[in-house]
Amino acid sequence: MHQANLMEVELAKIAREKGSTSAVRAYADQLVQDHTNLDQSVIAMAQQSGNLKAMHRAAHESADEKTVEQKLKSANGAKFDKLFLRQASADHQKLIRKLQQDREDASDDQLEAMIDKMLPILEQHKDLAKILMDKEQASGQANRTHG
Amino acid sequence: MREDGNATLHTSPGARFAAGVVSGLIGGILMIGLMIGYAQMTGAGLTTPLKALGAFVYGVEALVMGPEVILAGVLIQLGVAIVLGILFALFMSRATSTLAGLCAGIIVGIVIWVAMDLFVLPYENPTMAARIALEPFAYFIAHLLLGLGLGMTPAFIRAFSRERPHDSESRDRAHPSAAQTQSI
Repeated sequence: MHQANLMEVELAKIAREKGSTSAVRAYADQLVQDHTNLDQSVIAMAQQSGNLKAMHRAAHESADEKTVEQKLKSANGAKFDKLFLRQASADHQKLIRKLQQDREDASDDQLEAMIDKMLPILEQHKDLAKILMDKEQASGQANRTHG
Repeated sequence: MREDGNATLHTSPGARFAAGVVSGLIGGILMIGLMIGYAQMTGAGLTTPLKALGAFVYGVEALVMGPEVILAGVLIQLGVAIVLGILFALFMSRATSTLAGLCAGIIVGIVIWVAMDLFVLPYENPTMAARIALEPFAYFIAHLLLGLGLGMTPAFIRAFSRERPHDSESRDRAHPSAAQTQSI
């Protein structure tokens, strides 16, 4: 979860700069705030359970994540927005599934409570990505019709 | 709580209404002030509490919308607080002591907190419910502040009911016999 938060913050920071619409930039801003906030809870919990060092050791950017970052950095305008929103949607879907699985497997009440608080926030991020993708698609179609 | 049976402690509807509006406004501002300050302090974002309130109207999309959603959040917060203030003022009078008013206000604040947390937010605004779950203690304290604001109602009723010299003169002109009786 720590690595996922770091990754989302990293990608969202790029989108905050490169997003071509105010809605995409606002979404990126929300992702930075929420994932930074959620990560503080993850770090606090790891600290409490004495797993902080292990968590930091395990957190490293994968090759896939580096590729995504490069792709986003090289895209611009509407193409960037589309790529970023699609990536955010896929990442959040994956993360939600992973946390739901962890929730089922967890035997620690504290961990369960933390996942219960995180899941609705991640669902909101996923829903927002879908709403913004639909809007981009609709405005793209409108442009093609008028053009 | 209503103790104004006696004529000298009569509370005019106007004074009651004005006191309700002012105390509701103070409670509403204290409440949202705390939520905004706390959100800023924890990195959740200065405007997030107002956007979460705006989600009552715009749904989850409120989180990525512009100034209109912040305005909606302000209007919802202050509008609801003023209505609560006016309703609360119906049960208060000039004779209600400041302490009793504050205690009643805090109890009402806690009741509103329970109602919002259990019945309103999960069904009417899940976007806000999810965000409140991350900072439950601040949300509770914010309701205590709302209660403190409401609790000031009796003091405001007294302040707004104070007889001005102009009022007593016009009353004496209208009812000279009453003025004579008073002078005896």
